[in-house]
Amino acid sequence: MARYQIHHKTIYSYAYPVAVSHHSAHLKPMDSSVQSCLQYHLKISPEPSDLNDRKDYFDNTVSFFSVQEGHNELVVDANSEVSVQHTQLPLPNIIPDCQQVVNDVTNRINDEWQPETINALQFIHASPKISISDKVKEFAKPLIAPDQNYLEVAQKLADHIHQEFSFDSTATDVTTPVDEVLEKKAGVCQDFAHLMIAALRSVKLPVRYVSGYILTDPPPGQERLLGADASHAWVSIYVPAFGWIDVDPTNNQLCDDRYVTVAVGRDYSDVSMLKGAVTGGGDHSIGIQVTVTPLDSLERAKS
Amino acid sequence: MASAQNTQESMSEEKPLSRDWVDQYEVGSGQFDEWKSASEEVSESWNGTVESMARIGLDGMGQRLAQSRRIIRENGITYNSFSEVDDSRLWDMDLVPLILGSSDLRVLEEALSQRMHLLNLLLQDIYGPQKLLRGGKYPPQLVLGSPSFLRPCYNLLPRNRRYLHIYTADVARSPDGSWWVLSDRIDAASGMGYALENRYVSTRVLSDVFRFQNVKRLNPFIRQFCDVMERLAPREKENPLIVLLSPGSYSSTYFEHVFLARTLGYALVEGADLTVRDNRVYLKTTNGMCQVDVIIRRLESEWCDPLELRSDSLLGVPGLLSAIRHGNVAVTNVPGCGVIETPALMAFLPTICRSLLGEELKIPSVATWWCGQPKECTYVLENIEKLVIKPTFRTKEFHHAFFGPGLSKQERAELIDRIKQDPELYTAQEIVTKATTPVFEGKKLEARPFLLRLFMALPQKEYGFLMPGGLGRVAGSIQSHNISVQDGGASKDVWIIGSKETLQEEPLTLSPRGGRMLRRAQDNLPSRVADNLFWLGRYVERADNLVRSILVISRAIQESTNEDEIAALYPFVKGVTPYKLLHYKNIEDADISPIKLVEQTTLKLLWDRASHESLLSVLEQTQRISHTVKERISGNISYVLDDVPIVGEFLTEKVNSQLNENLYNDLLKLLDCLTAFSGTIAENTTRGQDWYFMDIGRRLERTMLLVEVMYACLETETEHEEYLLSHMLNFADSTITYRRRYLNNIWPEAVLDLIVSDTANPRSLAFQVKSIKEHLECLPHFDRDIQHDIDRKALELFSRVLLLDVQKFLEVDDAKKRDAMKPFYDDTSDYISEMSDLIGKQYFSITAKKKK
Repeated sequence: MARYQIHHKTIYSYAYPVAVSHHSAHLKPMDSSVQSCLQYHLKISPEPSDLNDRKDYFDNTVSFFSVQEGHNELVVDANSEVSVQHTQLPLPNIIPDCQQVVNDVTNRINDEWQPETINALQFIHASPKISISDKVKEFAKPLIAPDQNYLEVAQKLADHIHQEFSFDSTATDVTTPVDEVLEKKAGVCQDFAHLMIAALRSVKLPVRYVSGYILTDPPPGQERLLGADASHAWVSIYVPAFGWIDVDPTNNQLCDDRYVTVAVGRDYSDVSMLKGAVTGGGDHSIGIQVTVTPLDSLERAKS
Repeated sequence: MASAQNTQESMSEEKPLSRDWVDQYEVGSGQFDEWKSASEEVSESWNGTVESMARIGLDGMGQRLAQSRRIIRENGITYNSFSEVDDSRLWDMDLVPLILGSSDLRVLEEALSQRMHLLNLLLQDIYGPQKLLRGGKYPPQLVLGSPSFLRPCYNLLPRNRRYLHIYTADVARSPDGSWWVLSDRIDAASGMGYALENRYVSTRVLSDVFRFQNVKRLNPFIRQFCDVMERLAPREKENPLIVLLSPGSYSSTYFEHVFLARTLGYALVEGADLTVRDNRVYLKTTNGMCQVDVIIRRLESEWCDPLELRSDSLLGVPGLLSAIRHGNVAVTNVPGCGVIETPALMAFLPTICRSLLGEELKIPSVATWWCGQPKECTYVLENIEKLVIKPTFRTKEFHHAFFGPGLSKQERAELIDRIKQDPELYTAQEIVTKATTPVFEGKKLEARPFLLRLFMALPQKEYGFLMPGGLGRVAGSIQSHNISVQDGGASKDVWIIGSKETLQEEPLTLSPRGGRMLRRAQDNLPSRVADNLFWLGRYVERADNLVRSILVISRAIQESTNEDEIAALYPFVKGVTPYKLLHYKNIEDADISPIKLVEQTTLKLLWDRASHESLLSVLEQTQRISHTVKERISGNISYVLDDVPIVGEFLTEKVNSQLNENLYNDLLKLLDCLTAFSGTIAENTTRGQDWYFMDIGRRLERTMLLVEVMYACLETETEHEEYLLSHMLNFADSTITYRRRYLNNIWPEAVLDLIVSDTANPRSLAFQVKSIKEHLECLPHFDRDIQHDIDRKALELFSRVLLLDVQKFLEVDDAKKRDAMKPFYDDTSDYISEMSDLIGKQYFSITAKKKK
């Protein structure tokens, strides 16, 4: 088990004053069987006129707030503390092959749909940011064998993306569609997650998008730098009778207790960490600082 | 008397009206035809109506058709009005009404009430407990895979709250006389306004036919509809603020939004007019912010809230869903309800109905197969040439239907291939044989298949109120499968025949429920509209002044006898030409002859597309703005600007024409048209805020233009001053008044007295600033600080103009310069721009914080 303190600060700077702004934030780490959010606090400046939390359709916590006084800068500071357990993987022989997964998810038992099945069922379709084009189908075809175990297929796909695509934060932005990522063979974690999801969903395999953080190792012999981390994104595949298994195509690995899950959804559009609609403002720039600190090391430093 | 009758009779004997066009009406064998197969209840009405038309005669009907088209054009009834006026297509209405009996209405009302109730329960389940979804009564993919299932709308309303208040259905009659539902329109369905407008047109054109047929009135429905809307208001309130939210004037059915808002008496607003503060929705008006209680939504769900739904939407209201969630506003129909529009659902409705209501559907849907089910998919693939294939979910990429019978071999193979790849995205339906109804196609009556769009509002409990009428639509030809206005089809007024007794109970007018207060001047003028009206005033005035100055220059060129005279005109040219269009500040700097220079400058002033100050650009702007405020100004006025050929001609074929007598005459016509616009406004517009904003705009503009000309002409004394002064008088349309006072003696003091100081001359500076000051006092004073500034500026400008000492003002120094001119010019233009800014701040861009 690992414990982390996460500090995520976002600063919007506007060219002209913003008269009124509305925001939604998916910044609270989720509670699940392997993860507990021990603390969470959102500090916003200027002071918002209202702040409400609610659960969204996917059971993530989403905070809504609006700022009604004129401002040139908005700072959203999220602090949380999380404990994460190591995920237990199922034995390979109980993981069904891809065809079996598709059948299991789309078949109902005795007229009733099981809650977990119906939940998985919504992650087999195209979604706002993920359209399944002929190009995607073509890309996925040689990589997905119907008779192969789903986890192996997912790992093979992650490995392929890791090998063939280059990590390049200048190649894409948050709106880049999957087809363009395929064309450029480059992108960031969000793009790789989208691509992997599109490929798996092209044959109706259930898979969802995960947004969160990853603990990075400081360069050997150096201190952990504040604000040097970033938010991260990966995918989670649904294995019937077992549950969800997280795979990170960007780093080509299965997710373990170095990963902190914030929210899950069909794609980025469901879980965007911070969204806003502002009146006025003109051009704006965004500064983001993320620091993930293992709590034992923090305690060590204090003593 | 007797002789007159004789003449009439003998005339009709001479030329008996041919009835062939009516009598040769043919119905396909096995078809149900509304006229020929009419039940006893309506056959009399049908025969009577057709008989009246036969008496009107073929020529008479042709005239009435032309008449109806004229009314349609005059009222600007379009269904496809995009940015350019030319692109809007006029609404096409067939003259023969679709006549149905009260029993048809009863059957449909009962059946559709059940269906609306059912669809509402379905929506409540989808966006709530999802018991039905999990219960296996229909494939959950139809919801979970649908782009119209908007997850932010989940649990948007408290349990058991109604999702559906307005229901629109397309129905058709089958050969056995029973009705089928072809599609359910839930999200932001159009048509109701067109149905009301069709009734308006048909009663005007066919009043003699309509009068004796006991046609049920539409007014009771409108009243019911308003009642339903008012009851939705979350707060108990005497007059809840209800608005109709439109995507704006670029929407294909914008006309209808305007018409409905007018008919129902609700404010027509766009997303930018609304703002959410403290989880409440406010309308930004010239009176400040007013809390909105009910929003009738004509904007599709996914565009409604850029914060939670499509973030690229510029049409929505950020925070709207949050306001709904907090119970502070009612939006109808509730966003997200489009999810049940999928045709695939029709295959499962009978099962859902049995399971939810324990009864059978009272009106069947057209036979439907969802390809996501293997057995159904096989059937579809085997019978594809007999079916219509529709997208299960309408998306931007896939939204049209394939008609099996019309597909080529290759198209069919391609479609089959696509269905096999993604079967769940395809839904097939039977191509039903629809009943026909007579259509007047210019030479005869022809039987054509029809669709009927019906509108239902749900007052309470489970029983809906169906509009006793609807929107009939007929195919472009008898063979056509596709009935749509886009494909050349026409619409029809729908007459429901009632008995005399029931009709007498119906009120004749749309009287308000309870003792509602009378309202004088409109209280909720949206800020965006006020802004546009203000600029419309400015642009019309600018156009008017440009035309006047070009006329003055053209006349001067025509009358001139030598180059010197033209050169003397230059200060005036300079005064009326915006700085950027001027090549040379002084005529001495020019390397071309004065006549060439003046001509060139004038042509630029007319046609320079690159400058937003040329007449061409100003006219374009005027048209664009008048388009956006169409709904605020009376029909006649928008007609003046939109449809008078001369404005259109100036923007098209006349562009770039040279200065000559033809152009001179055209400019005179254009001036008449602009004057007519001003005149109509002055005569027909209530002195409410609409008028004040427009008139303030125009007066500010006129002040500035007048001061500019005066400054350019008189800053330096020239030897041709008398000549320039006469042009100034022409420009200020004050020549006749001047002559009446001073005959032909032109001297500067007298001219300035008339066009600067005389408050009785509507073209004088004093008159403008006085009106501005008075108008501003009539506008709402809700923000004292800004208002104080505006009023002070107006008063200062007013006193400066009134206290101007004309003698001193005209004093000349040794270099023949008038020193008082420049400060006066600078001050005035400062005042004008400051006032314009302040007015904008106060009334147009309402960003003020609410007091806590």
